[in-house]
Amino acid sequence: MSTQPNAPALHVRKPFDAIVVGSGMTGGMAAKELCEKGLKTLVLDRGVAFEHGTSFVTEHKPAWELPRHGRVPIEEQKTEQAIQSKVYLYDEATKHLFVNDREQPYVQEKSFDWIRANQVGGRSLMWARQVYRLGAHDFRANQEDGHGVIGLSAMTMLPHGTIMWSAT
Amino acid sequence: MGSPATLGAVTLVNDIRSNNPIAMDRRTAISRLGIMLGGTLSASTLSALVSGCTAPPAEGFVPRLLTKNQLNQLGRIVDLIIPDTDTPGARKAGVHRFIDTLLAEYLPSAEARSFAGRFDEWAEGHGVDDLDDEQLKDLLESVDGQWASGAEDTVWAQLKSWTVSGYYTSEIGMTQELRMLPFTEARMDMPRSEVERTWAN
Repeated sequence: MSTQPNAPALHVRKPFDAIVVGSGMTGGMAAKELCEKGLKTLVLDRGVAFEHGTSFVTEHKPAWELPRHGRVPIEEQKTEQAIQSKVYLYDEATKHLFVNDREQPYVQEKSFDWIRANQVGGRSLMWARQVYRLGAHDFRANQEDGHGVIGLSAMTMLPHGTIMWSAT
Repeated sequence: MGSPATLGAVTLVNDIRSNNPIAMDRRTAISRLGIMLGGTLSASTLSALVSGCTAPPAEGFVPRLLTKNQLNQLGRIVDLIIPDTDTPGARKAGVHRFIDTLLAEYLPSAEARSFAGRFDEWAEGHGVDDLDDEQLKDLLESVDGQWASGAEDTVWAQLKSWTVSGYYTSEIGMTQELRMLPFTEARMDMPRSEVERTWAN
């Protein structure tokens, strides 16, 4: 891992109980869980120090304010972000949030499109959507309509906020 | 936005907890959630709204890949594809200038030059410069009809596609032909009959 010239040297004197690499949704939740269990936790990430508010340079811009109404030049997609440009989120307003594939290549033994964030906070910062908790009805709607498998209807609804895995 | 957002949140939560099926339908609930989220997003929304417009300016626009004559031909053509109605059409929306931008910046230069060359042949072959607007309209209707019934016409297909996508992503297309209201200005409980235009997204 290269070190940026202005990055402070990291002198670790006390050992950590856990090290989380990446502060996206998964790493962030893992770190939260680990900390809440009382483990001394180190979170490592790379990329732009993305600041809420000031780092929003294209968010909510209407299409006509983008020079090409959202299109990234085809040559630039091929030479700079050949893999990143495959993801549906990639466009003129979001391309800076993805890594440059030419600068950060990786070996593909089998074909694998590795979509990578370019900032601390990871891909959680590119998603910008909402997930609503399913209601009890959603688990039995198929059977009420006479379709699908038994099983989901037997699922017990867990209290809101329950985390489905545990870092023990 | 402080008070409506709070009101929306409290109302939503109370209605869900009371489990009252007539208190709030799904559409209303989602709309109010939009207000809550709009409230939290307002800083970046507002900064986007006040930031400058970078669309190609009409005055003194110099095409970068097309010639001035090609730009003028394009302006006539796009304005017949999407003419002025009760809202401004494609020429006023700057779609012909946007197509020059796509050619200069979006397409690889070889493809852009190839298109410009094929457009010249197409325009010359149809005698576009000798036609008045009414005759040009007849020509385009004929060209479109043949293309729709399977005749290959890559120039026409490309022009039509760029005109539609350029228009509906322009400021005029998105705010006058379509309706666009940011979250923070969204009006709730809008009767369906009042919605006379499709929404921009």
